[in-house]
Amino acid sequence: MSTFIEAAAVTVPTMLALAGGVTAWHLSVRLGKARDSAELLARQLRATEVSLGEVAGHVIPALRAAAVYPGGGHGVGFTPPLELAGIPVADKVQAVVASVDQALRQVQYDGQIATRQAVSEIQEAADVKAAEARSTADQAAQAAVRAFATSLVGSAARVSQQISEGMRRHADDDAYATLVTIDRLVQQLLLAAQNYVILGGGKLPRRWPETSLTDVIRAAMGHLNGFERITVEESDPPAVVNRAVGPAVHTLAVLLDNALRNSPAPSEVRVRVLSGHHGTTVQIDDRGLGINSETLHDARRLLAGGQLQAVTQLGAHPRTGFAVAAIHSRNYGFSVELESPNVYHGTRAELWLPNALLTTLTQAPAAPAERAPAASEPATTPSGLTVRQRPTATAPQRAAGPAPARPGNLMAAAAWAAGTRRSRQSTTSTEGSS
Amino acid sequence: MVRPFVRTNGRTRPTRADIRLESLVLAATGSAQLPGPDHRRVLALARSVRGGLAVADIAAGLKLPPSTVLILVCDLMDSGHLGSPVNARENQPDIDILREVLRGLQAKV
Repeated sequence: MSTFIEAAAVTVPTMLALAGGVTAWHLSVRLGKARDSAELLARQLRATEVSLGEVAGHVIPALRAAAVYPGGGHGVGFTPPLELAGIPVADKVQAVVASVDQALRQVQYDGQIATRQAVSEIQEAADVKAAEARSTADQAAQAAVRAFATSLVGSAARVSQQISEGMRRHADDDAYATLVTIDRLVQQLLLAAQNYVILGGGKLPRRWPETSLTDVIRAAMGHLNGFERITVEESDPPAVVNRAVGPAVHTLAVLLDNALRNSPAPSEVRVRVLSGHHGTTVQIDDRGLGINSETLHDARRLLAGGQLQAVTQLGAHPRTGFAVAAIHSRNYGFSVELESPNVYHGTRAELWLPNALLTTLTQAPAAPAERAPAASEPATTPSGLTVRQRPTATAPQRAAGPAPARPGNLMAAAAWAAGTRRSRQSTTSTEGSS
Repeated sequence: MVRPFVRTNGRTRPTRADIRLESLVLAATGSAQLPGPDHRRVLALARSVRGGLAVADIAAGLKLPPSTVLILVCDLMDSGHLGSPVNARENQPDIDILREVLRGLQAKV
């Protein structure tokens, strides 16, 4: 019995111990599992915290920073750590990052569109303003140039008139030479000023009567330094109608000026007048270097009706001539053409006047015809002094040029009387009547 | 509208010192080529009068400055288109007769 008891006493605890061990093993296994699970959760929790920290601390600021610069933000993103693989938190965090990214991108895009629109609107407005300002400035400059040049032309014309009067009053050679020197300079000044009147959009102030083309050419020559180099071939050209005289003179002056400037000093500038069925052409040939193809092209385009530059864009040393010729051509219906090289390898300029601007002078030889009776008038009342001169009429004996003079006669004395009497009208009249 | 210096091709002095504004000139039947339109006008005027014209008269007739016409007239005399009756020396009054006349006038005054 005791053995049994002993046995029992040994067995029971053993059993108990065994049972306890089994239980403990079970427990320990369960505990281990629970601990593993807890650790996993803790790791996941930490990883989640780290991930959220990264998202909040780096990813979103990086996206925001990228959004500030247009087109940036690519390559910025969030990759969940391995601990979070396969659990919903990772997806959620990624979704948050993606939606933040998209929101920022949208904002960025909208911002860009709005900015671009605003910029283009501002630019358009600025362009309009700039164009307005430029046009206003050009108009103001144009008006200022026109006003200044017009007043200059007025002054020069008055000086010119004074010079003409001076030439009639002072017959002294030295006085005449001085007046001519001044006159030439004033005429050159007048041409320069007239150029700017035209470029400034003004009109030539003076109106001329209808004038023969020969005199139109010679009037143009008066404006030029070194006009002595110009040779006008003899011809019997038509006359220019009064409204076209001023512009024709001015256009020929600028064309001849170009010819003189672009050819060396002793060489001749030749002018021919050629009549055609539709009109008459004044042809100007110089013997200079010619003009280069680029300048020729520009000038031709301008003369054919191309865009005229504003007076402010002509530069410091403007080439005003062709612009002036172009403006006159448009306003009056004649045309100017250029050719280079010409027969002398220089430049040829042609002014063509249509028949509408031409006429024939009816009273061309009027001056001598009118004068004739006036000259014979004094023959009826010769003064004592002129009678003394009668024998001088034996002119044939005089040593003359190639041809013998037509014998003078009594009329010579009468003419002498007319010449002298005019200057001292009062004394002669009392003398002659007695 | 044509400036006087263009008419004389830039020259300001006549080629002859003996021709003055009051000098009488006669048209000659010169056939040499004429220099220019103004010379032709001067000659046309001189020819239209049966006799001589003073240079000043031609200037008045053509409405040109006298000095300009003087230069043109001298050109025409050089080319033989105009002549001066004054040049006929033998027809000038004897200086002694003129002196006599002067003395007589002075005695009267």
